[in-house]
Amino acid sequence: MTSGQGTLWKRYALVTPLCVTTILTVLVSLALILALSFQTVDVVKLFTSLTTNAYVEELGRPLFWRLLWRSIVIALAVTAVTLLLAYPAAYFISFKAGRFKNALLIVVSAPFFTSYLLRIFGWKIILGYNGILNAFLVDSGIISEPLQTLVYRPGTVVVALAHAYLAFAILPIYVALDRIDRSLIEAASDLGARPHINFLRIALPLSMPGVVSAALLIFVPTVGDYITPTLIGGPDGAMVANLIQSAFGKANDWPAGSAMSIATILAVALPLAVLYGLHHKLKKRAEAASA
Amino acid sequence: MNAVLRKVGREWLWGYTALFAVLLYLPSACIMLFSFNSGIHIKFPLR
Repeated sequence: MTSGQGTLWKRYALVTPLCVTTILTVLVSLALILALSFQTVDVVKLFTSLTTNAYVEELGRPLFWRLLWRSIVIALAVTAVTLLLAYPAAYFISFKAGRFKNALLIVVSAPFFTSYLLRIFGWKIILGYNGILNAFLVDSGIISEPLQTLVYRPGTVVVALAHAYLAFAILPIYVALDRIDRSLIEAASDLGARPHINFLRIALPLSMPGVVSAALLIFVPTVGDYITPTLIGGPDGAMVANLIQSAFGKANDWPAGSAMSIATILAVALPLAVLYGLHHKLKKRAEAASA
Repeated sequence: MNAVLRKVGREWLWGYTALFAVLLYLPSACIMLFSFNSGIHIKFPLR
């Protein structure tokens, strides 16, 4: 074996655990879901005959498309709200925090050691009919009756999910901002650029790869989230994952659940492909500018 | 007044980050607060 082949073998050996884990946990599961989507509910015929019945029946239901559309809209809203909230905080940590940078990163990450479920319940306590916000509004005389519109609404799902994914947004944006060569900003300032021009022309464009990474990290799990809509979404806040979960659970119709899962994956893959392409392009541009 | 506005314009990120930290800890803090409540219903003021 030549030394070149040895190096190549070592390189493959390093990625083997990742490949095996990915194949076992992602690809095999997806293949099983795909195979199940072409089966019938009849256990006698399971894995003996292929049929597209599940696709025809489930994708023909307006409810599926309505919930899928709502899931995508909610996920986009969550992504936008999270990025808008996270960007200034990440900017502050990277540019203004100085020696408190590491301490602030710990402060930002610490709430996310609490269980996701507990944090969602926390929002229920704040926004519930007898919750903190209603109690405060009634006690202070702003309203006479507690508001019923604070919880069990799509907006509540957006607030809770945006909060749940804030750390996932701050960290990639912070990394992208921290990588920016400070001499670029100093040079622009020396040439007379005002702070907002520095931000708009240097920091924002160069941090866009981090923003797109954060958007991907938020959008993908949000579309498929079902715990948050179940707990605080109410009937108007239900998402497509709730429908899929009920097909696999109460309805015990695994082919239907699988067909809806595959359709959801395909529907989400399109905006993701666009975002990924954008991410790749922005990353190359940022690297070229930093070089 | 203008000096105050300029100061706010320069330093708003500090205030924003402080508010942001409050928002981050709010649900967890509420869970902790609610652990002192009696009964199983979510009801305020706490008893």
